[in-house]
Amino acid sequence: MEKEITKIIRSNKGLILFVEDEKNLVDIYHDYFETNGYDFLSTKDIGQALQITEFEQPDIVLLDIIIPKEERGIINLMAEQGYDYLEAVKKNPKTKDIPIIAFTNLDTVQDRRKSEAMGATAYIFKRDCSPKEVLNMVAKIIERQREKKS
Amino acid sequence: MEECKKNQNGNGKKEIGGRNYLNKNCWLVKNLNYAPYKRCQYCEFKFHHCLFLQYQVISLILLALSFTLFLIFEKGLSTLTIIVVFSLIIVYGYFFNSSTEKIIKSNFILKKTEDALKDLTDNLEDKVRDQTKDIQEKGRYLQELLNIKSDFLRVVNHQLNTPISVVMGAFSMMDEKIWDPDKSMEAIKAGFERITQTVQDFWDAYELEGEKMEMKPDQTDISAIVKKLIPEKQKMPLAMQRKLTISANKPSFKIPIVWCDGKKITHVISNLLDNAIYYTEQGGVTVSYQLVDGKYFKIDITDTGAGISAEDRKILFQKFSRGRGASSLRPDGSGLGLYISKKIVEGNNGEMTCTSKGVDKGSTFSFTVPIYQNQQSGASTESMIKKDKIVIFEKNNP
Repeated sequence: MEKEITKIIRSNKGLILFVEDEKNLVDIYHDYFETNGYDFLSTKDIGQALQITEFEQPDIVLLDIIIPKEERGIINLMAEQGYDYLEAVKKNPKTKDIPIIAFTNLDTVQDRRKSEAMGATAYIFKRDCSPKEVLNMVAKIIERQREKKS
Repeated sequence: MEECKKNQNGNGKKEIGGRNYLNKNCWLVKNLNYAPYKRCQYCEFKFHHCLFLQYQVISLILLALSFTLFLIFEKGLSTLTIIVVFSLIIVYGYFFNSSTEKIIKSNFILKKTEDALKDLTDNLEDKVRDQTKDIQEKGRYLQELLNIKSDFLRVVNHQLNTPISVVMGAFSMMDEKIWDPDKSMEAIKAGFERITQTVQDFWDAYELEGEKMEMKPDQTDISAIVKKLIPEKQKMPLAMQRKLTISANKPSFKIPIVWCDGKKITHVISNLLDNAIYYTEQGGVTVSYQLVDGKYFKIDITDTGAGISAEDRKILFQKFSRGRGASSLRPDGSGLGLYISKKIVEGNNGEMTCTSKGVDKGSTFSFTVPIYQNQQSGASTESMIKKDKIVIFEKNNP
């Protein structure tokens, strides 16, 4: 990961930050996006994710919502750390315009509404989306974002 | 004062309206120490408020007045006059006496009814308040249960969707020829194993929560179970990769036959061995045995792994919890394994404990099962053990 953070040369397709704790999924999406010419960073540490977001300025963030967290010695398996990250990113003027996709394995109306209200650009239910569909959506959002900027 | 106490304590007889009631307010009754009239047992008045006394005074005045009038106008008292006046007073007195009796009695009954009504109202208010409180508490409890249930479903949903998305993703990778079939199959297999384990864990937890899991205790040889499990665990990829030694110590005593559900206890030992392997990066896992009070057989599973802080030990057996650092070592657990194991051990009348000398100093998970007592039949053995206090082991505690 350290090696990836310091990566300087970027492809023109875009840099994706994947905030995720599930190692197998990280492996899948890492290989998928890199094969398709994207730069790919991932972490499950929210603090590190915020640093990467600010200093690397990814083109898009794929954000898992449920990321286990240690609370007073107890690992809370259902900690909603993704929302903490989302809130912090949207508060920071340097990062507030970076599009964020809530990328989660919970498909509830409440979670969709909450993510939207907190400023997520899209909501993807992981289980029902293939890497290809995710990539298509990511590509579309990056393109839209770049058009907006230019 | 003492009398008063007696009045209150005496089983109702000395209370107003009772047969032995004496009106201590009445000077006359108090001095006579008995009630001269029946109505006195319903009366609480002082002597000078006594209705009959008032009647008597009025009678005397009327008597004096009528005699005086007769003396003035008739200049003498005829026998007839005396008879007439006395007859009038006697007849009038009789009626007055009986009506006074009725007045005092009905007054007493009215008062008694009022008191009872007041009592009832007060009690009713108390009762309604109590029941409202009770209903509110039950409502809160039910709401809490509903919350727990929906939380539980949320966890189930998420914990199952995650391995499914891994499996689906791995299929896509194979489909698009980004991963070779071997690599995909590995991820798919791991995903399915995790789905199976999670479904099993949730079901076990659900059954244990509702105390529905039935234990089928029988004569069981724990060492045979361990002997069978060790080679299986030695073949685990993680154990081979880390070159862990997994072994059982031979005790100095003869290993007793225990009374427990062999299948469920196998699950417990397997789970404890898995945990030990997952959390041990180098060294090994050792199973050893002890006897406790000749009644219980204790199984210790000791590893040279991550160890557990005192703080973590408290929460170890809770649902959906894992110790410090555990998520990085074993990110795919359902968080239910130890909780289920503990419940199974308890269901077999044993006790499960964990000791560790601290972080990075390894840990020992122990549980006890009752030793099978030859002379007793199965059912009575079970009931005998249930009554016994289960010993808590803290010997190895730092």
